[in-house]
Amino acid sequence: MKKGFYFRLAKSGLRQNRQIVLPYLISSICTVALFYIMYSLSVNSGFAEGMRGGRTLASMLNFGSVVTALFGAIFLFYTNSFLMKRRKKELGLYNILGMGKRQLGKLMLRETLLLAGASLVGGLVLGILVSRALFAVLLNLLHIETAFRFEIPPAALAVTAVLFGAIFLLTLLFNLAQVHLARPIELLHGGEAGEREPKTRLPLAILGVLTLGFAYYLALTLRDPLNSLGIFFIAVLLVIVGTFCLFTAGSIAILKLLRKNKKFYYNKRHFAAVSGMLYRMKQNAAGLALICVLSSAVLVTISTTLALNLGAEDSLHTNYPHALSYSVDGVDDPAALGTQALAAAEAETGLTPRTVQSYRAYNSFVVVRNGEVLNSDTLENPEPGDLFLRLSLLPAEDASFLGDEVPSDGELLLYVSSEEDLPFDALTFGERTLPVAQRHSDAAGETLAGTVVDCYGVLPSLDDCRALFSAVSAEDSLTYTTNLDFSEPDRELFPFSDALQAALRENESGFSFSSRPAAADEFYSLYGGLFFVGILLGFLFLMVTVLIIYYKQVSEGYDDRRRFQIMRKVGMSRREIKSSIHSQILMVFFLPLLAAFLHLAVAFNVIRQLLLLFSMTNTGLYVLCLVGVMLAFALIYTAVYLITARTYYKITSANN
Amino acid sequence: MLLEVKDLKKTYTTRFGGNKVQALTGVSFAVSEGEFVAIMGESGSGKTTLLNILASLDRPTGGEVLLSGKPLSGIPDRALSTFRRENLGFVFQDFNLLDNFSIKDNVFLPLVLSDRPYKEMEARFRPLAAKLGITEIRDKFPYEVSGGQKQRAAVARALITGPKLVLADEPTGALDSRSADSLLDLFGQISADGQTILMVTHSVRAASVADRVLFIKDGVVGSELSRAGERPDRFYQRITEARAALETGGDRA
Repeated sequence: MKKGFYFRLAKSGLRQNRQIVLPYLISSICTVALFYIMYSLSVNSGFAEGMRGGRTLASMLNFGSVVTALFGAIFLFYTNSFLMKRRKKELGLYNILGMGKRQLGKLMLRETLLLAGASLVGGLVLGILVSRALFAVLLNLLHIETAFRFEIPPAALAVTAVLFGAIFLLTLLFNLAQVHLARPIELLHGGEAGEREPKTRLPLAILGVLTLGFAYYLALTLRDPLNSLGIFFIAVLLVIVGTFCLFTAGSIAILKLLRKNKKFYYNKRHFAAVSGMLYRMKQNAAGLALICVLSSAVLVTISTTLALNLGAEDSLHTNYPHALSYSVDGVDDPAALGTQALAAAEAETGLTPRTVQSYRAYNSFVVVRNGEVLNSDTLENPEPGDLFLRLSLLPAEDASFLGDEVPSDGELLLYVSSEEDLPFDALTFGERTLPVAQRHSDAAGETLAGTVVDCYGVLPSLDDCRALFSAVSAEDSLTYTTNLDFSEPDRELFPFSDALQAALRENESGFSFSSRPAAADEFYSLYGGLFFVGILLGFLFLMVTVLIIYYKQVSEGYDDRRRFQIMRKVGMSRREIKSSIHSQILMVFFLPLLAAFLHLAVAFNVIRQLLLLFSMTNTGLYVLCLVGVMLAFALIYTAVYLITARTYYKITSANN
Repeated sequence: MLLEVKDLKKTYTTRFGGNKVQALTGVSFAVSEGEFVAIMGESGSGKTTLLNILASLDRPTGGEVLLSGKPLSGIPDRALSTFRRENLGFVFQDFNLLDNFSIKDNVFLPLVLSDRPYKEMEARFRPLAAKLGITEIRDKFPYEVSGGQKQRAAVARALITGPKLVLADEPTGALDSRSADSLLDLFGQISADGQTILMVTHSVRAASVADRVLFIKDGVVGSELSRAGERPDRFYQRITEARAALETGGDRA
């Protein structure tokens, strides 16, 4: 046989079937591109540049690309089986015309090679172009400050090529096995065999309920944000599995139940819709689950990163309530050193702070267990119910920034932020037990990362403070803290901050220094980066969602055309057909969106806690972002629905 | 007369408005209640056009169709599907059953569209299914049963609304000869029960079970034969001869 014969045969075969090959090719190209973009982003060097939270983000993206690969494989298998069913007839014909199974295998190998080659090259090129465009648009138009730059990581190219090469190889093996097992006559009629009614797969439905239930339980009961990231990943995985099971098995179970209800089923409005959905759920469920998961992903990423970005200013002020702040300790008279340094900086720069707030205090991290104050350094195992405090003990004369109240002798006046309410009215320090009077003050810091409560204990004198402090701490070090605020904007404070740090460094004392202007850069780059990644992923997911929806509508439209033509002959008016189509598409379409909204509502708690890790405490802002993003998404989704429904109706109602 | 067709004309205009094709140039006939009429003709003779107009799926360019004395042209478009559902039953060559419905649900379809209560559907279905021999396969799906069984189900779907007129378009066209024979016997029985049937076919065997055969040629009714109590095999002979005569005669003219 002439060289290249099979290649030419494969090429012409694909060309002749372009009506079904083309959508397959497009969807595989898009899947490859999606994976490439996700993966290349996760290895972007922007993460390596010491961005805070960058590792978390990179691991999230990595996780995302694993999920994409999984879904991509399922999606490709599903579209491949669709393609194969249509092509069986042609292969059967070749078989009957004298082509052996070996030769058929050769032909199919060539076909797969062509398809895989086109998908990989097309997908990678598309991926590179799309990521280039997204980078250009997002970085230039939105003026987000971030370390991300467009790049083409060779590793991403290689991983994508190998992974999808393997997936295509698997589909080829699957197809070969199918052809090998079938008799020619079966091949010839393969395309005509009616799609079998799907079976109710009860175990799968139960698995779906269990996994989703457990994921919801995890999400709703999570209290400890420090562990939330791990649990979040587990919950996301469970939700994906659960969504998949429920959409595939649960939907069929529900539809069958509906069909059993004679009154409901034998009704003009539901009859065609329920059976139509049941009939096509098998092919549909995977796509719908994918849409649901992608929609949830779009909503989570965009809403959280938007909230973080909008709340960056807030978070900055939460973490840095004062423009500049420094503490001196480790010397006999830290107050003297502190004042001296401030005076030096003022003299050098000519700037004077608007407010200067100084206090002497004994600072320590302690654990309160059953009303007893314990040194957190010596504590081995935390127990449930333990309260972590960052406790500063200070004399009444230095505490005017908290309030004017003077504690009576033997009483501890405890200032916490207005959101906290500590569950005790007495504390035991070693041998001594003091009654505690709780007060709220905005000057008391907020809860750090959701677990450590920042509080100030005021006692009549400095000696009282030292006495109490020595009961819970081995050290005996007084800290002199100064908080400075200026009338000038933060960005003009760099010279002052430099001078102050230089002055502090001249002494032998230990000191700590925190500067809001210096932190702002880091903050904005972190949140800008997060927002960038969020928008990028959001766009990507949205694109894929729209593509899947459109593909589904069009491919099903051709399937349904004959059915609706029959219905018209049997006496269904165009209007009835239209309303039946609408009720069907509506149910199929808005199910994933509703499920996504439900997922999000349940995930709210986890997301709130995750945001706390990024010092985002403004829950109201997050709710606002979430609702806004949900609304926008619902609008886009509806628009896509309306456009595709029109296409679908046009296809189905076209005469012949 | 149950059905009267008066000087029916249908002209198709080709896409660019140039050529006009006359599918029907003036067809007239009548079908009385309970009669079983077969319409024969070669492909292109206008059979399908005629059936589409009778089925109210298409509008004629001239002439009139009266069902029980009422003109079809008087029915507004939006009421057409209801009219079709309540007065006509259809049997098609390729069965036109819906894959996603069980046999029973396929038969129920017109009743569901008419918002009938489920009890009534069941009550109508049971005797009909017994008569047509589809009781056993009622819960199966179309792809699980044979062509003959599919066509029986399609007949059941056509009859379940108790239509005034059953229109059959080449009902044996996709069946093997045994299934075709048994289906034709069925049509004979249904006709004997008083159902009016109009069947379009080019099979002489199918036409020979009818009471009367009309030949359509070049858009007009060429001739007609009545069985008048003859046995089907005799009638078959006469139809064959008449058709041959018509065709050769047509060639000469």
